[in-house]
Order: sequence, then C-alpha cells, then structure tokens
Amino acid sequence: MSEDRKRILELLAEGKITADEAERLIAALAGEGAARAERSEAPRRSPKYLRVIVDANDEGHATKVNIRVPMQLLRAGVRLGGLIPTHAREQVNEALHDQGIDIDIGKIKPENLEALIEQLHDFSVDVDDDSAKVRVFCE
Amino acid sequence: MIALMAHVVVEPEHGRPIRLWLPLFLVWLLLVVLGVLLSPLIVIACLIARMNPFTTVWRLCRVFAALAGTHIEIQSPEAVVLVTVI
Repeated sequence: MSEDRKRILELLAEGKITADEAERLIAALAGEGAARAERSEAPRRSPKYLRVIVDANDEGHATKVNIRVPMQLLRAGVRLGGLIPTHAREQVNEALHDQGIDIDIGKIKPENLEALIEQLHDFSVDVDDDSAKVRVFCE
Repeated sequence: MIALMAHVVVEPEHGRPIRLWLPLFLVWLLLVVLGVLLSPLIVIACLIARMNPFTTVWRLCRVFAALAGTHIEIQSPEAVVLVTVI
C-alpha cells in the first residue's frame, strides 16, 4: 500500500474526512498513478529526421531553405567516416581546426551518434536574427 | 527501405524549368553491374588505402540505402531547387 493511500485511510479512520471524500481521493491517486505509469511505459519514439529551416531576407532577397535529412543517413555517414585512413583523417582534422572547429573526427563513433540521437527528442535550435531565422530540430 | 525514385525540380528565374523523376532503382542496378565489373580495381584501391574492401562497399551501400526520405528545398529570387528522394 502506498504512503498516500495509507494516509487517506488514516484520515478516514480519524474521522477527518468522510468515506466519499476518501473514495474520491483514492480514485484520484489511482488515476494519477496510471497516468504516470503510462507516461513511463510509452516508448519514446526515436527521431527519424533532422530538419533545418532557414528563412533569410538579405537586402530584399528572400531565400528559404528547407532540408530534411534522415537519421539513417547520418548513421551511415558516421560509419563511412570510420573508414577514412589515418593520414586523411589528420588532414581533415587540420582543415577543421583552421576553420575554428576543434573536432577529432576519429573519435566520432557510431555508438556516440546513437547516444546523441537518443538525446535529440527535445532538441531544437532557434536563431532569430534581423536578416535570417534558422531552425534546427528533429522530428 | 532503399531509395527508389528521386524528384528533382529546378526552376530558374529566367529560362525553362526542369522537372525530373529519376528512377533510382535503375541507377542502383547499373551501379551493381558497374561495381561487379570494377571490383578488381575497387579491391586494389581499398588495399592501397589500407581499407577493408568488403566493409567499404557495405558501408557505401548503406549510405545509398539511407537516402530515402531526404528532402532539400531551396527557394531564392534566382531559382527554386527541390530534390526529394523517395
């Protein structure tokens, strides 16, 4: 028996609440418990696509970009990236470093990507600038 | 599910719009035939690059297979470009 239910029964025994009130409280508790169980048991759907939406308006030139990339393609790309020979990987890392991106692509493994994708459910990036609006999210 | 069709639309501001339905399943068939014919070269290239040829080909195939669902749409004053892989 849960603590809440025990407390309700104690209140009923002490005469602080009526039988009807106790029944309503227990029913409310049961409903809340069921809803909580449903929330925890419902499988979280893994995102299927990465979406990038850009709405730019540069000096009157409106440009819209709408990209949808399947997560499967990202996974396959990371696995393919694992095949890059060491010397080529070093060159890629250097080029990225020159662009201000300090990433060692040799350390990006498929299992890392899986962990990342698992956390992407609520992922959303919104950049709202005077000249452009950028939205990156998963669906 | 492997990508079977690609819809490509290019609509320039001035000029004729291009609308293409590309049957990718035919492209895959051609690639398979080409891959078999060029397999000795692919194996040699992979060995030179110190890569496992079977893993390389398998992972490339997975990239092609994962293309389904890709959607790229760019609208600018100069042109509209739409690529959808089905």
